[in-house]
Amino acid sequence: MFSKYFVSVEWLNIFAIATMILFIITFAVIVIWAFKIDKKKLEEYNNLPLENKNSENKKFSI
Amino acid sequence: MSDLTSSNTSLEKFNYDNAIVRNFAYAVMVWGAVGMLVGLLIAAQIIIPSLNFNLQYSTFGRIRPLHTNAVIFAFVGNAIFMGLYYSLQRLCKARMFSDLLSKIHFWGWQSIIVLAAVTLPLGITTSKEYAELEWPIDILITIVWVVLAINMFGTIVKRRERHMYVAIWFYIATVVTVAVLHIFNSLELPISLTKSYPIYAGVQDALVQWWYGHNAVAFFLTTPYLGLMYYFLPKAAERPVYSYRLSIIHFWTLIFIYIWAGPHHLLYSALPDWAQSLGTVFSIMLIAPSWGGMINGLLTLRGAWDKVRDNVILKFMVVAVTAYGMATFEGPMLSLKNVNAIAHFTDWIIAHVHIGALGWNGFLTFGILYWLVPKLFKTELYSKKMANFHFWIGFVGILFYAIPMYWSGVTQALMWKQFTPEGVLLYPNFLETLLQIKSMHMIRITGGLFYYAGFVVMLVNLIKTIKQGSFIGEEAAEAPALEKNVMFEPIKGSIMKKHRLIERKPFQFTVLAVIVVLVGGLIEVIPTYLIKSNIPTIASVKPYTPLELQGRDIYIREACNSCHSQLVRPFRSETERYGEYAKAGEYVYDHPFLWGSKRTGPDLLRVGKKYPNLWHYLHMDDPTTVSPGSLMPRYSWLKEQILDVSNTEAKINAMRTLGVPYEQGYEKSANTDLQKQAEEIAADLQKQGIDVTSDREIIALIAYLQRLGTDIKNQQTGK
Repeated sequence: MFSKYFVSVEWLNIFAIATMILFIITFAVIVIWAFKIDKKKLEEYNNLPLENKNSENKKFSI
Repeated sequence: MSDLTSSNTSLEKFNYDNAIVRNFAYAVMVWGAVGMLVGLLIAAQIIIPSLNFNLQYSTFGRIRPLHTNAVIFAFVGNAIFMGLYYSLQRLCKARMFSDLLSKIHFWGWQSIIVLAAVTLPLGITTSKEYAELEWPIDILITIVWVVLAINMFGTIVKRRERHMYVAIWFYIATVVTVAVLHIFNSLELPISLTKSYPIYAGVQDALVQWWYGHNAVAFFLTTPYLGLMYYFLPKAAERPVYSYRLSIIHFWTLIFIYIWAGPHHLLYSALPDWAQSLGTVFSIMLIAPSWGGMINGLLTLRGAWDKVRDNVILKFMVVAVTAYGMATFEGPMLSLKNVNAIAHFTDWIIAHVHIGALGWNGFLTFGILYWLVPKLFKTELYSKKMANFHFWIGFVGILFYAIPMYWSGVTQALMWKQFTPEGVLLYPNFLETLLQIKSMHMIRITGGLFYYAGFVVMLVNLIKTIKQGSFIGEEAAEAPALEKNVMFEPIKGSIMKKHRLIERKPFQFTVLAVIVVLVGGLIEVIPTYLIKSNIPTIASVKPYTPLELQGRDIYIREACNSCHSQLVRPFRSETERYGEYAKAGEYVYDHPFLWGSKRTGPDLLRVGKKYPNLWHYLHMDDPTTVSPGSLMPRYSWLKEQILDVSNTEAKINAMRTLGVPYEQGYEKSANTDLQKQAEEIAADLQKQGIDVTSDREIIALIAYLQRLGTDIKNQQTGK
């Protein structure tokens, strides 16, 4: 239907392909990066929210 | 900025600002109560329209955006800020950058909400869903958002923890993306303090609006709440999140993919097929990061599920994360064209939205409030029993809300599409489909009442908790200072090492996040500009007459587009019922577009000349007189109120500025034409015994409705 108006804009099709390639590259970089992070560091980062436990009076939690 | 540095150079003493967290918590409770109550009222009005008490200010169209704005921007918005101000200070081991900015942010945001609560019932609206507020409030939103951004980034810069925890990543993505969305979707030309027209028209306006609408869900209702989940779930469970690696992948893939999925709101519309397909593909791909987040949340409780049995906070959080998983599975399914063909415009979408709102946003907020309030007031929760009651009645409420709405949605769709063996519509009268789902709407109200009852119980419980405790506004803390300014620390090493440094560098991190978000945004928005030059002009499509333009603004004021679409999709069931399917070229003068997103009433794109003027007059005055059993409210004030024509000139000028081809100087004679057309309609009505004068608002609305779709009919008949 309306898509016929876009038939003349052939280069628009490149968007779809470029998008997928861009995503695959981004995803690959992120995964490699995530798995390259030092395990010890990861553990340290992961515990950041729990570090303030002492300052929050634990006995008041439910 | 009241940090106190101790004499010990390695350890700094400072205070966390709990007052701002408490204030936002109070705002959550107040606006939640208001927003959900209005939700109950509009749900009741759908089956008993007279519950507007025949007042224009409490009519469905005007208070429906009040409900959505109150729950999204007031209830959820304040909950985001409550959690952000609490967690950011602790994750950064620093007080907020500026107490003054915190206060300006708080009071500024509450002022916006109050302005929304005043202007929307008055009918001051742009008509664009979740962006209804008029331009002065839009500017105020921008200022307040910038204040938040300065305060947040200022806190991050002066932090005492080198690594930025993943929750902060989500906060950063939220702040920058919402700013971009809000600015681009709010580009409008003011004609007065309370009225503006968007710079975009028709198809282009629809694309920008749903690019905004979809991503408002993504970056206001999802990413900040994921940030809260990554902070408060480990807190409540007293264990770190299941996988930090997964959270990294979750974050980057989510913000990359989400922004692309907007076109799934416009399937079978004027969007090019490739963009619709791209939107669908990315929507399906979105399941992966969304479920990555859900799995990460649920597996945080690995080996500790026994805690869920005893800890009501965890119960709320588990249901919230599960609801997130359900909604983010359903969303991609709804973006499949064959599913969308059934679900779009029906109650199915209402069910989908409320699984997210009541389950994900609501329950996570309740869990955080139950965790946070006792901490802020150094006491225990007043009653665990009441909290447990809240959980169960809220949970049952969600089921009683969602199940009948799913049922209703499928029923609607099937009835709309049903043909007899002879090939004619089995239910040609739209009202039949509406009456069929009335009982489901009643059950939905029961669900809403359950949910609201739970909310009230929570309020009582928290107020009692607050009363028995003592508030600690300044919470003492200490942490070693960072050795040097982390913001401008040079980056060295391999690409992977650099990436690790980006996590420590708010500026570089923000730039990267913006690029990731904008790539998708730009590729979606660029075609919207191309559309304008690619839509073939339909010679018979002309600008609205001054009276029709005024009538259109009354249509906008009363938010008729809340219940009536103006988009006939290319299905036989729709063309049989409504007429020729919608053409992109028909909307070129529509500032704003009025396609709607829900059909509580029938589509109006081809309603022009379908009924006589008298029918419209009687229908507006009392819909049941011409449509027995109708569930539309009365608009009797339209025949009483005098049409304001003092702004016609400004409106014509504004439209011409936006590209509508009114002749130069036409604005001077516009009111003469307006008067002439109004007198013709009034004379027609008077002939049939109606006592009405040509200066009433109803005349303008009739003129607009009688124009709808007639340009295409004129083209077909060669006029």
